[in-house]
Amino acid sequence: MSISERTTTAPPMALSHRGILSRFGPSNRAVFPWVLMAPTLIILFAIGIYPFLYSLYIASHNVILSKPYLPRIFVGLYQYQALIQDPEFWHALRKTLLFTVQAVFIEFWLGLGLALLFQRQLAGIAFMRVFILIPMILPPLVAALIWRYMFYPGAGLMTYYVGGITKALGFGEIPFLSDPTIAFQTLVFVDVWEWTPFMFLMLSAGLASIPRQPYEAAEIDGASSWRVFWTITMPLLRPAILIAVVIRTMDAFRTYELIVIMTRGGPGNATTTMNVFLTKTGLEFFDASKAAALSLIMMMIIIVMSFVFIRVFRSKTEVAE
Amino acid sequence: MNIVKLSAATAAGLSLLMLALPTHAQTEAQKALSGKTVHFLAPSMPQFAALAKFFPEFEEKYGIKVVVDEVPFENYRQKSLVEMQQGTGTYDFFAVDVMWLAEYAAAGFLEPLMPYVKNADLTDADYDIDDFLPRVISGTGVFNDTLYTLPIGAGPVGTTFRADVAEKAGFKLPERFSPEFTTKYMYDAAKKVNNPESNMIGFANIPGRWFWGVTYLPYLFAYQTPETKGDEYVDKDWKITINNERTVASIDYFLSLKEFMPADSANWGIGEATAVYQAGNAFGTWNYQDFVKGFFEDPETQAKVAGKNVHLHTPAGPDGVIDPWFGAWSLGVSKDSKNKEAAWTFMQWVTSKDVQARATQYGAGPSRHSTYKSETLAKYQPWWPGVYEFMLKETNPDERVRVPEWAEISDIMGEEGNRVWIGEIDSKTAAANMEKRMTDAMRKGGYYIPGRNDLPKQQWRDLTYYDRLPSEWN
Amino acid sequence: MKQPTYNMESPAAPLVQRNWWVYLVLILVCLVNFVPYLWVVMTGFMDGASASSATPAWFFTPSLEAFHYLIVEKGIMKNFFNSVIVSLASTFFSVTIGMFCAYALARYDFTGRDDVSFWVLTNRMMPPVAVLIPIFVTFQTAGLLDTLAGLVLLYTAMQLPFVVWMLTGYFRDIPRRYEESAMVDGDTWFAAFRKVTLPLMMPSITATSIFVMILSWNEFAFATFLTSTQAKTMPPAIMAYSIGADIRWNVLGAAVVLITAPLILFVLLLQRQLISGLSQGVVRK
Repeated sequence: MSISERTTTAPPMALSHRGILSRFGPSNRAVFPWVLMAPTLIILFAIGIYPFLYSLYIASHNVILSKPYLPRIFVGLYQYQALIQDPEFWHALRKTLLFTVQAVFIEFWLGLGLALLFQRQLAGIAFMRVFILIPMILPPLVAALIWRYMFYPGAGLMTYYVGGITKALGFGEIPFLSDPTIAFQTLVFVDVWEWTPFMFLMLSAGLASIPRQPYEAAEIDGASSWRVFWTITMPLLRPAILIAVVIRTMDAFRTYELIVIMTRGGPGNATTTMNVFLTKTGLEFFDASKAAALSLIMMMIIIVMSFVFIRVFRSKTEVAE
Repeated sequence: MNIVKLSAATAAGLSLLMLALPTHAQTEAQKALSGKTVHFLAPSMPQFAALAKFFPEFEEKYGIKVVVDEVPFENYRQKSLVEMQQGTGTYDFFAVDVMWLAEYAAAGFLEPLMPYVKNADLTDADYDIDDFLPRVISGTGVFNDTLYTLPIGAGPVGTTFRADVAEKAGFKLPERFSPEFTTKYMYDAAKKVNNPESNMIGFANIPGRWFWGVTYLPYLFAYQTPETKGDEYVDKDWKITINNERTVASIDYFLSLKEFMPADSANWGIGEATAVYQAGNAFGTWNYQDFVKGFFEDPETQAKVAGKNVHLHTPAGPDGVIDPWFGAWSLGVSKDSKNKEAAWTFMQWVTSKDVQARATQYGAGPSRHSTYKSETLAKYQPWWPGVYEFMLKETNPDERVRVPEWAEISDIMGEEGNRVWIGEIDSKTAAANMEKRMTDAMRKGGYYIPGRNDLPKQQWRDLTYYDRLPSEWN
Repeated sequence: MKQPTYNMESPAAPLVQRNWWVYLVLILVCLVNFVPYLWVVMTGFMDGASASSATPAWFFTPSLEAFHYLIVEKGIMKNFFNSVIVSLASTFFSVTIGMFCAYALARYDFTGRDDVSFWVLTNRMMPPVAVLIPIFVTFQTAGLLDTLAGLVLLYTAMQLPFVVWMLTGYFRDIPRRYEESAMVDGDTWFAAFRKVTLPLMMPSITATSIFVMILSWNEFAFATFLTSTQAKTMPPAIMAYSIGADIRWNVLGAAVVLITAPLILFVLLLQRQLISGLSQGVVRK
C-alpha cells in the first residue's frame, strides 16, 4: 500500500477529482489527514481559544467580578504565587488526588470484575446490563441528590436500614457525612457507585475485542487462569484500559456536583477538593483572577497526569499492535 | 384564637369581594404598553411562586405578558450577575436579595425607581409608597439615598417549637419576643423534652458549614451586650473584631445544642433539620419567617405538625439582646432593559396594596403597613402580625454586613464553626482563625489601604437612617 | 474451585454450568445500582405528604401530583423537547465530525499525529466553571445566547474529544486492506469508506453516540448560564422546579422519571448494539 501503488491502481478517482481535490484529496497522504481533521480542529479551536486566552489574561490581572468598579491591574504571576503559598490550595490538591486515585482504582477493578463476569453467557444477562448501567444514565446532579436523600435523617435508606443495623449491633449510628474521614470515603463510595458502570462498559468492550487465538494457545500449554489473565488478558486490554482510565481520571479530578450537593466541602474542610475550591472562589466570591489561575493550574496537573499515563500505556500498546 | 377564626371568615368573604372589584384604572400610557412581554429572572423560592400566581391576572388586565425564568437558588446569584455584567438585557427585571443591593446598585446595574414611582402615568394613584414600612423599603432597596428596588416581603429568622409537646411535658412556651425566651430557656426546654429513644430530639439545629451565616448568627448577636452592639464583626474602621469572648460563648452555646442531635448531623442543612421537624421527630428548629407557611403550617404536606407550632423569635442572650435579623427579596428594573416601563407597570401592580394583601394567601410575606393589617394575612399567616413592631423598630438591614466580602466572611465562619462542631478545634481557636482569615479577606478587599476614604458607610450604627419616610428618597 | 474465576470465554462459548455464585454477585450489584433509583422514582409517585414521611415509605397511595405540577403547571415538556433536539443534534454532529478526525488519526502516519491527538484531548480538561464567562461572552457576541443552535455547537465541541479518542481505537482495529481492496476495485476513497469501513464501524459509532447522548442530555452548568426562556433544556429546569427553599422530593422523583425515561428506553433498545458495538474490534486479525 505504498503511494505509488495507490495512484497507479486508482485512475478513475484521480480522473474524477482533478484539480484542487486531487491536491488535497485522499491521494495526498501528507495533506489529506489534515483535511479530514479540519472540522474537528476548527470547532475545538473556535470554542476553546478565547476561553483559554481569557483565562490567561484574567489570571494575570486582579479582577473581582462583584466589584466591577475596581481598576484592572496587571499583577503578573502574583495569582499563581499566592495560590502556591495558600495552604487551602495544597489541602484541596491533596484531597483531590486522594479522591481521584481511590475512586479510579476501585472503579477500575470493580468494573473489570463485572466485565469479566458478564463475559459468561447467562440467562437474563442482557437485562441485568441495563440495571448495572442506571447510575451512569442519571444526571450527575440528580445522582448526588439521590444520595443526599439516602443519607437523610429518618427516611433516608442508608440512615434507616444500615444505621438501624449498626445500632442494633451496638455500634451506634455511623456518621456517614459527619466524620471527616468517613464522609470522604462516603463520597468515594458514591462516586464508585455512579461511575463503575462506565468502566464496566469500556472494559467490556475491550474484553470482547480480544481475539480468541492466544487463549487457545494458552489452553494447550495448560497455563493457569491467573497466569492467562496477567499474561494475555491484561496486555491485550491495554487500549481499552487507557481510554477508560484516562477519561475517568480527568472526570474524577473535576468531580463537583457530587461533593457540592452532599457535603459542600464539609464537614470542616474534609471534602474540599480543587473543584469545590475553584467554584467557591470563582462563583461565590467572584474572584475571577484567582479562579482563572487555579483552573489553569488544575489543567496543567491533569495534562501532566494524562500525558504520563498515555506515554506509559502507549508504548506498550503499539508493540501489541 | 376565636378572634382569629372569626376574622378569618370575614377575610375570606372580603378577598372574594376584592377579586370581583376592579381595583385600578388603567392609564393611557399603560394601555400603550399592551402586547409587550417582560422577562423576569427569579430564584425558585416560595416568595416568587406566590407572585407567579398573579401573572395571568396581570396579563389579562394590562395585556403585558410576564415570562419568568426560574433558576435554582444556588445558581441564581452567578447567573444574575453575569447577565447584568454583560449587559445582555435579556431580563427586564431581577429578583435582588437584600445582601446584593449595594453591589448591584454601585455597579450601576439597576434603574433608580423613584422617577417611576412619581410618574402618575405609570403608577396607580393608590400606590402610596409611604405605605411600605420605612425600614423594610429602605433597608431592602435604598443605596446611596436612592431607591433601586421594591421589597416583596421582609422578615426575621426565628425558631419554631411544638406547643403540644411542651404542654405534654408540663410547660407553656412564651410569646414571640417575650424576654422570658432566652438562650438558657431554650436549652432547658429542649433538654426537658429531649428523648431520642422515642423519636423526639430537643432541637434540630443546622450546623452544616454553608449555613452558619444564617443559622449561627442569631446566637452571635444574642451574646452581645448593649455596649458591643454594632461591633459584632467589624469596628468603625472595618477592623475585624470577631475574636472575643462573646463569639466564643455563642459558639459554645450553638455547640451545646449538639447533645440533642444524632451522630450523623454535622452536615445538616435547612433541608435535613426541617425534614426531621416535619416528620414530628423534633421539638424545635430554626425558621425563616417567609418559609413558615411552606415548612411548618401547610396542612396538606405537614400533617404531623401543622397547627401545633409556636413560632418564636430566636432567643435573647444573657444581656437580653436579640438578633435584629433582616432578610428580604426585592424587585429591581435592569438598566439594560428595553421594556422598563412595562416592567415597572408590573412591579407597581404586584407590589400594590391589593395584590400584596392577596398574595399572602399563597405564602408571600408583608412589607406594607396595610398588608400587615390585612385580614388575609391574619387568616392565612397569623404568625406575621406579631413581627410588625419588630420590623418597624428593631430590625437591622445590616445585620449581615452588606459588603461584597460577606460571602467570604460567611464561608469562613461556617468552615471554622463546623470544625468546632466535629471536634477538630475548640471555639477559641475557631474565633482566632475567623479573625485572621476575615482580616485577610478584608485586606484583599482594600479596606486597610492607608488614606482610603471611600469605604462604605456603616449605616447600622445609626439605624434612624433607614427610618426616613419612603417617599423622601431620591 | 476448578472453574477459574476469570474465565475467558468468547461469546460463542457454551453455557457454563453452576453459576449460582455469579448470579448472586450480579443480582447484588444490580440491586445496589437499582434500588436508589427505584426509590427516588417511587417518590415521584407520592404526594407531598408521603414524600416527607419519617421513615422510608414503601407502600403508599400513588399520586400524579408531581407530574401534574411539572407537566401542566410548569410546562416542562418544552424543555424536554429542547433537550431532545439539542442532544440528538449535538450527538449527530460530534460523531460525524469526530469520526473523520478519528479516521485520520488512526489511518495516517503524519508528523505531529500524537500531538494533535493529545491536544484534542486537552480540550476536555478545562473545568467548566473556569470557562463559563468567556463562553458566555463569545455566545453573546455571536448572538447565540438562549438558542438551540448555540447549545448544539457547544455540546458538539465538548463531546468531540471523547468521540475522537473512542473512535480512533476502533478504526485502528479495522484492517486497512479492506478499504484498499475496494479502492482497487475502482471506488473513490469516500465510496470505499462509506461502503466498507462505515458499516463495520456502525456498531461502535452507535455505542459512542449513546455515551455522547448521555453526556449532552445531562449537561447542566452551561445550559443554566447560556439559556433563559427559549432554549432551556431539562437539567436546569428540573433543578429549578424541584429545589426551592428546600428539596421537593416528589417533584425531583417525577423529574427523574421524565429525564431518565428516554435514555433508559434508548439503552434498552440499543443495548445489544451497544455491547456488540463496543466489541467491534472482533474483526479478527
